[in-house]
Amino acid sequence: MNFYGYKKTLIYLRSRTKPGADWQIRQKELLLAEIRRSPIWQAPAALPAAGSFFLPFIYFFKSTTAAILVVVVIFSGFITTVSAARASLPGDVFYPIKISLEKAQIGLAFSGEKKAELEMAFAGTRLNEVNELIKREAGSPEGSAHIKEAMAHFNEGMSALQARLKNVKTASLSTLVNDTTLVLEDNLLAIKGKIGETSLDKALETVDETNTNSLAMIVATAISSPNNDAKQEALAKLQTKVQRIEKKIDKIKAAVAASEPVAGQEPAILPNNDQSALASSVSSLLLDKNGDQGASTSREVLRQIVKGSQNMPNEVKKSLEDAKKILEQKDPSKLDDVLSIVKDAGYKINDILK
Amino acid sequence: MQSQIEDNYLISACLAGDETAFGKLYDKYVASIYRYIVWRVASPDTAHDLTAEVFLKAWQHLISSEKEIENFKAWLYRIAANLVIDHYRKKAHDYLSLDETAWENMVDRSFNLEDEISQREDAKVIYRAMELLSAEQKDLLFMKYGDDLSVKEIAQITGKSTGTIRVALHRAVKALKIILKGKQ
Repeated sequence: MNFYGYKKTLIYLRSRTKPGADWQIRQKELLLAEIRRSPIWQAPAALPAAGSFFLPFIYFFKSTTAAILVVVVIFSGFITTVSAARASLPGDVFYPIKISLEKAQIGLAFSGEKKAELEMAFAGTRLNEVNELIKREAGSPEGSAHIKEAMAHFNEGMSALQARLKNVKTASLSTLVNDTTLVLEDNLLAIKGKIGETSLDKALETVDETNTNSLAMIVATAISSPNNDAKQEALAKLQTKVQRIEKKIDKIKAAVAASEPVAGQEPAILPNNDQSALASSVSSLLLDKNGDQGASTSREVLRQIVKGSQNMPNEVKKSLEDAKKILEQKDPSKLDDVLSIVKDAGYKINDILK
Repeated sequence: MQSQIEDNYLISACLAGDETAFGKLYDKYVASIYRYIVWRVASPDTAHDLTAEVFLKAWQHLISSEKEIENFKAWLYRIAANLVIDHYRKKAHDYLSLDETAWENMVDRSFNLEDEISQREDAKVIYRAMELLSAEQKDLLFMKYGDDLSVKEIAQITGKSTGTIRVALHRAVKALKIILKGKQ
């Protein structure tokens, strides 16, 4: 055997050496059980005793009471309090401490990338809280208020993340944000499917916007980089985005097909709030001017708006077909063109979904 | 680099309260850590135990230590390396002092007998090729070609400079080539 043969054999053995599948699953369950038992946060023993180090961070906190509690908790080392805070949900006594501790963690992180990672992690925590609230307080008025509170913090975190993405323009962070926002979007849609809460729409819009912004950064990096991997990644991410928008279009069409049509008329997409407001103001204007004639004209205006909405998904789908053709060519010089189509399609579909 | 950012995100997520995040890290690295260990202890059962201990230690350290982990993968391998050294210390054996039968035990117990026999033969060949090398040289060659670690990662795991690792690896490969040529 020569060295090449030795290497080849070792590589082959590498592919065949793996832990038992049953053991792997069992061990993972044991590990997660151990994780659930242990306190996730412990009082940071390494913090300096001098309070002056910590004072600047108090000014980041909105709630003075929570800020004082955070300082007391950290300097007294109340592990129980920290654990209770970690497990708390909106409406619980310790929830403000939990939020303040998270903000402290972000504040203490040195790099923008680390802060962004934490913001994404805490956004996921907010959605976990909503899922827990659904189990615990399904249908109650307090439950709805608590969900809104969690979502308000979620939106705040996502806004901070969006702002950070503008300042920390690294390819790796853009990719992570792009991947994470897709997961967040899926989780939000699953939650919306359970409770139909309208406060989730704003979150969905923000998450989609963050995803699109991160995609724009990935494309910008790919265009300026000589690295072919960056270009291939951008193409793949654009393809994923196109597929997701197409799925949204299919859902819209399915929803329209499922809604009961007025006798003799085709099922229509209901106008969204903006379109209704527009129709309403046009109607008022026409009625003021033209009385009964205005009324029939305003109905016609509304029909045109609805018809426009009806055609919108098909138009968007057509533009996405163009995007897909460009993507098939795998031409990195046209990444920007695809991005423009995808952005435009995304805005239009989100508009309909509102 | 991308993998490192993902690992850091998962660590932040599990410290933020997402239990499944550490599970994802486990899924990502369990096979490679197991492989690292089994090739050094030559017993799948021992390797399973030590692999479990690696992740438990990693979790315990994550929640108790303030120090940020720069490279989770390298850090995990370091834990594994230390556990393997401890294992040899307890057994009062020389590090990586494996015999031919031990190598055969490392092979995946396949349902396909022909496959298993072929793997045992391959394992024997590797053993015979490496038996004349020092423990350090064996370790380096395993890490580079068996565990598929880069020179930088090996340096981070062993705590040595990349230059030192590069030179040591070059010497190990040279020594192995001479041995293999002699056996031909």
